[in-house]
Amino acid sequence: MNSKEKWEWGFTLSAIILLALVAATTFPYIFQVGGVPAPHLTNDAPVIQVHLIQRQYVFQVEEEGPKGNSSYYNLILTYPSYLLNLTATSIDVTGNLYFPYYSGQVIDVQIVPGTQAYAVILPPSVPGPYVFLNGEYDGPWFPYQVAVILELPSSGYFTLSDVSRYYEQTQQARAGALVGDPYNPPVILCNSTFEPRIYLSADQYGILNFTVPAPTLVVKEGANVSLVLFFPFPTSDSNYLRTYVNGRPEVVNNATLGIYGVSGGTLKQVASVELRYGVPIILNFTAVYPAYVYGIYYPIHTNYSPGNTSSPVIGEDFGLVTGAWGIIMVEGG
Amino acid sequence: MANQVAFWIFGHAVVYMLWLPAVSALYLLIPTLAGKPLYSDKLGRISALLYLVFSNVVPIHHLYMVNLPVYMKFVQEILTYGVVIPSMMTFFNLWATAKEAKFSWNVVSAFTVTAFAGAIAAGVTGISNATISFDAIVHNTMWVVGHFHAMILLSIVPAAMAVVYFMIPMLTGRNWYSKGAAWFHFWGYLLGSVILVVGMDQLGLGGLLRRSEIFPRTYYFVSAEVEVTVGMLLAQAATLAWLLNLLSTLVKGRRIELAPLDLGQTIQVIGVSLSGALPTLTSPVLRRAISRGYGMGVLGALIAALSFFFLAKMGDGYGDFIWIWLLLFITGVFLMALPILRDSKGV
Repeated sequence: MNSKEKWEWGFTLSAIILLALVAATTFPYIFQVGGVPAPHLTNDAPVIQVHLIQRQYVFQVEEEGPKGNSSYYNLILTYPSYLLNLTATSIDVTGNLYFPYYSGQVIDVQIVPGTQAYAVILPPSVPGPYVFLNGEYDGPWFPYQVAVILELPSSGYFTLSDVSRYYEQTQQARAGALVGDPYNPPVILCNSTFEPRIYLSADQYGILNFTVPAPTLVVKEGANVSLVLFFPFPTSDSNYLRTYVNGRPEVVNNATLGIYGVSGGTLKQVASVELRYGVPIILNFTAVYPAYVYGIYYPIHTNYSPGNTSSPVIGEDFGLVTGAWGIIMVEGG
Repeated sequence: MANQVAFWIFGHAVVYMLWLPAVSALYLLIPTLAGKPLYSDKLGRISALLYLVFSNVVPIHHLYMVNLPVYMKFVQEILTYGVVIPSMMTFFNLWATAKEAKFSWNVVSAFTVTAFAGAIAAGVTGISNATISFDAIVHNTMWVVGHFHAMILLSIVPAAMAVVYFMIPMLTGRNWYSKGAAWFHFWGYLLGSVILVVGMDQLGLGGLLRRSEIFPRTYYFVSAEVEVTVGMLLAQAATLAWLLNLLSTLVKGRRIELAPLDLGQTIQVIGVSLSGALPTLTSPVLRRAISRGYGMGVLGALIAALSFFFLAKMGDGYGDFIWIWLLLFITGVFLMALPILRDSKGV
């Protein structure tokens, strides 16, 4: 081997060695995604442990919080100053937790079968609902899989100051960065009366007022609230309220519209009615909890398989889906 | 899953359909412009063979974040590293060919050098993407978009432009209408593309998903989005200048007689007609620049080195350190390059 060839092979070998070093040293980390930043673990902030399980179109949440252990769909409950120490896993589907908090940082974590994903989410400074979504498929415009981090007040109800600040920052964001964004829901203030009657209507995709989650409502403590919801008959395969059974399309008739009080880390059903189409559906309740979840909160199994054509070979599209649900904040005093 | 695997196995070839012609152009242009034979013909042939093998076994590196066995993904990581080897062999071969050659500083050689350097810069982001633990962080973010824009804008397109700049006079018998427009094209395109790619990488490292139509209205993201827009506009304006120059050349370009020349001579002749100055590695211009700007170069190097302190302190990227780093680094590089640029009259 002459001098020229020595240079050639020496250079090539050095490249191989460098790449081998990278592969070997990063190998232990291929079984996990993300990581918990050390400074967050060393401070004294209280921590809520959250286990996020990715399902096909929903997040299943298991929480160990200050008010006990709880399970939710598409919902994480937290309180001011608490850190969310999040572990995300999936058994069979690929997903992503994307939290583009519009006045803070972006959390972007892949959820992949066979790996553990970690993230720490800092609490937003103003209590209220904040959305995150599955960013794996088509970014923020994938319509249904949107979830909420609901930051409740430390105790009692949302104060007037909490509501004002939340409303102001949401309005500001929607006027600028979030123009056209269907995922940070608008806020509807209904706190000027103790007898609010609120009308919301679903669109061709089965979502309320063109937004997922549905609009955030603000009512007064002790108010007697009437929520009037309207769902048109689903005619499109794009609507999750239309599914395929034995290869033929059917509308979903066994879904429940409910009002669920958020208390002590659990959801307590305070009103419910079966979903009907083409007629107004009225849900009445008295606002005694600090917050409520309303609408079709519990996901519906939907399956797209015209003529029973879906199969593991050519592709399948089924899973638990919900879109017509939202948060009610209750203002105290 | 089957759809995804099938899509990438058949679809990934498009990457090499674009990249291999660019590499081939570099294998033609660099020895021609250097006026020397290729450093190692054997190394070039082995590279081509390795490209053929490894470019066809890497597609599943797009599927690190799906439900495939982790060990299969690791094998794919190794195979993807495999395609880096012929690239490294190519870079060494071409660098050794150009070493100590008397290069003419003209638009053809400028685009050729950009394609060579850009391939290395963009390739590094490719190696990081290929590493599963890194991909887990940047997967599906604007970083990925930044990577393939870097590959296309900083390497494939410049290589194509180098070819176009000598082929148009060959095909039409007319020389380029405006040398000034050609240089504006080069500098505007280069600067714009670099700004665009840096902005995209910044967005990706911040965690912004690609295809996002919304993003946090914070300084970090807004400034990066503005960078991308400014870079894109600059590169487009420069490319528009090229298009106008092309149309003017077809209509009003000076007639040039290239028939008696072989390909190498043709490229040299056209290159000279588009030359700036001659900052060859051994030229008096460069020696004078180095001797006169020695202190400035050392100062620039120190500032550039200092900048990395702020880069290390940047943490998660949110804050002003990234701008301090960028400002100091660019200042340092500019001070190092200034004497050469000044004496070369290439700008």
